[in-house]
Amino acid sequence: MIALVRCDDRLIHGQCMTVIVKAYDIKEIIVVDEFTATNAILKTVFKTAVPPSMKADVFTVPDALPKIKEALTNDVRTMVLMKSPIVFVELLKAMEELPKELNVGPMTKRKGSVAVHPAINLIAEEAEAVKEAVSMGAHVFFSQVPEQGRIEWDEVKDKF
Amino acid sequence: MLGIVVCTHSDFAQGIRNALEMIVGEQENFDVVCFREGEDMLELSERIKAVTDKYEKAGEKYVVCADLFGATPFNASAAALAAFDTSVVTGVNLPLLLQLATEREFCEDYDEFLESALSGAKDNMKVVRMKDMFSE
Repeated sequence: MIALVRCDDRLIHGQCMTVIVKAYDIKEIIVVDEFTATNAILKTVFKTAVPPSMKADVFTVPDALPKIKEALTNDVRTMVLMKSPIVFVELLKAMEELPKELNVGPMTKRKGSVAVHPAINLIAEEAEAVKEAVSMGAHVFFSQVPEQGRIEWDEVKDKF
Repeated sequence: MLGIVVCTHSDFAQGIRNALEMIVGEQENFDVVCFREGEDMLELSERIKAVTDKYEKAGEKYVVCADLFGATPFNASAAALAAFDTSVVTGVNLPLLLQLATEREFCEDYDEFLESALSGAKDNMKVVRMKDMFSE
């Protein structure tokens, strides 16, 4: 089952990851990132950050589709992780059955980005992708870690 | 002499260098790389490589000390050094750097040297209960 669909522009990393994995009782991570999936060194680097008890792999969008479909039908609590809402929209378009809920986690402050939360910043293209996802019927919420609560898209959409 | 490179989130690397040099004096073959907010992992990786290149070119040993296993300074170090016969030590702290800096001129076996510095650093981390320390 897909327990969480999340974006975090650092993908699998440090402490935030540990917290999320525990909070959602995640057993498997499907990372969807073209750049990392096609770079053997980066792929190894990201897989190294995963605790040994966890299964994780990195895929391009087309390669991720069958993996996500498989996860939807089994009972392994799986997280689908990507760098940005732009990839979420690509997945939504490619896959009818994808859970229509996205947790936007930490997104680095970048040139021209707007803060939704001190640790969650969106550039224009990402905000556009969130709008598109919402228009396709997806629920998009912002949350770094569950304890901090959620910010709903409706509360922040006027910033963009 | 074994090179030391410290790579951390924000100014920690520069700060720990200052602390280290306050204790043991100015260090040669010592570089800090501070990961900045908004910096891309691959940019950071390039900066690490720019610093470690001099050791690779000279065929000299060096160690990269990163602050957190699995976090960007570590990931960027690993991406930079994937092709080389070197090591990254994670969880950098002052006891670790002190031991690396003061004993590196006597380093013979690279792997053993790093393991020994790491275990020394771990031994230096303690919970000291004031009640126990000052009881009769």
